[in-house]
Amino acid sequence: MLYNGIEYPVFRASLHNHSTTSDGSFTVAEHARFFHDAGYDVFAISDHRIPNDVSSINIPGLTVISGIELHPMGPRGILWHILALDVPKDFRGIYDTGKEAVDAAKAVGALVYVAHPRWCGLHVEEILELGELNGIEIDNSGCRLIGRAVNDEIWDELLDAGARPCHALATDDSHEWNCFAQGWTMIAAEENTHDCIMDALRKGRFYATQGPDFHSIEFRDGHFRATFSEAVSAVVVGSRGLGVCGAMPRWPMPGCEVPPATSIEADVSSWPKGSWLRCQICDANHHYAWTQPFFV
Amino acid sequence: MYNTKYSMKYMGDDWHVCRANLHAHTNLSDGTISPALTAFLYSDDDALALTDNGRCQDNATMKNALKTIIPAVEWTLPGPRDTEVTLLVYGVPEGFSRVPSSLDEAFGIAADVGALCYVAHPHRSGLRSRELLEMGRFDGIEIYNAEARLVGKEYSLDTWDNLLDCGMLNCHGIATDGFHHPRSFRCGWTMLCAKDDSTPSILDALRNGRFYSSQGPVFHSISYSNRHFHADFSDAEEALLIGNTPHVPESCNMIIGRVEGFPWPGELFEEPVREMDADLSCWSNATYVRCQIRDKFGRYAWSQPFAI
Repeated sequence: MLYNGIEYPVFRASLHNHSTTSDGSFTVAEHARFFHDAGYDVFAISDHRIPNDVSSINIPGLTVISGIELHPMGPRGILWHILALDVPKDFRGIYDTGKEAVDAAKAVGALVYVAHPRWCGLHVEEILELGELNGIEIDNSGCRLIGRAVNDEIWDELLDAGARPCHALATDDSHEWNCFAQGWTMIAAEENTHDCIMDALRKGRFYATQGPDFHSIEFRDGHFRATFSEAVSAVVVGSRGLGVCGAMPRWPMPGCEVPPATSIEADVSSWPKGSWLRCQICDANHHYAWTQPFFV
Repeated sequence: MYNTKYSMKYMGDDWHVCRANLHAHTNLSDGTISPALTAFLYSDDDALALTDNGRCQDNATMKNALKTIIPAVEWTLPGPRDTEVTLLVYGVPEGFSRVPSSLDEAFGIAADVGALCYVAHPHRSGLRSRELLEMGRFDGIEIYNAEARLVGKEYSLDTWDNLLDCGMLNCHGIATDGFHHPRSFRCGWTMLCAKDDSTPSILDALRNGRFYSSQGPVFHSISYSNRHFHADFSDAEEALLIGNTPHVPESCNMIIGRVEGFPWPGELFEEPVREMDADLSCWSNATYVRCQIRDKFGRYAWSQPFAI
């Protein structure tokens, strides 16, 4: 895809998975093989409280990332679910507070995300107390089983509150077959190596998706442009009531469909300086994709 | 295509059902078409609330177009962190034109005249759950506002569940067009179990949560009693019971219903689901349950929450 005018190969990533090291049904090697065989290029293993030594996983074409999910006690008796990507194999897995866990992960250079905030019932103020994070999960397909998969409301609240960079991943939170290849992250990196993938994640050069694809994303001089696979709705979302609608079904009922859209352009140069924007599209199968936020 | 002759069983009793759009603007405020044309557009519905900003319209001229015009008004007031809180107020006297200057005053006025207050499009307004909890004093929120599709913030379901999870169990959820322009016509509505189509009956249904919200699917029956939930509905691809977040131990980690791709990714069910029947005894620490269904066109319907 073209990302801000530069052509990148795009790599499909599953960034939140559990193995028999904690409560998953498959070993790390089995899990990695399943995702590779399903066409994935990047696989992160993120067992609860226990890191994995992934150095022995050698599947050509698959970058394996050592991650961990941390669960210190949080506000109102809610356990934190903090996803840290790229931790060493001896990374400590137990912390007393969320802030400690986040700081420890950041200290070793890991990327840190709050997993499924809606599933947890977290309030935005509580997440802000963790300090600077890389972001959250916008979509966790395991949580669709209890109707709480998509976290767009809290993502927008965090962006409104000034959280930066505030990226958002789509993941499976895969433990077994019922959460497999339902949500993934497409990373635009120079090549499929550990360093290039982590660099792209850190810089937000990716999009999250349940199925639709972005072909190009550009934000330059107050103008946003994107092209994508066929979508029945495409919106550039901003703070509160700001937004630009590129495509929307006029009447969401049979017989009144409108032709799908494959591009959107939005002039946001008049939006307040420092405000944010992101683009979301939805296809005919009711699956969404989301760009990362940009800032005016 | 739209048969308004609905009835359903609600909590074991047969009810006449009124379809209503509870949020519509005309060109008397910031809508694009006249009150008469708006009423004509909605003439297939049983009830319409014209929620023009700041003034409850005199509806005498429109009463021939529609069975019931619910006297209503919209107030937009300063909220926390420089936000604006938009309130939909139902059951004000016709011609009512008092405009409050604060939320406290707004809730006070509504209580004085016996009106119901709903917070419109909280997601679009940028309101946080905790701020809404502190505000209290409202009867519900818009969980779907079709006009807010234009900025990608038409749903406020996360907010709804947060409020319910935090104990606001009487927080009802309405779906509306948020009508300003015909592009948002017939996208979301509320189906009220009322004695008849009169305003007092409809407001009684709204006040008691005796309704469901929909973008298309139809509930034929809804009941909850002694930890047993039952509903029958039109063909659905997904049907879920949703309760407290899993941080309430043993509350709702049990999956009840049918979800796309579960248990096998890409699985397509041959037959739609038309019924939800669940024993919630295992939800021992849960405080609420609500039912959510989705049809093959991606349209949702939502029951109101039941306290467990």
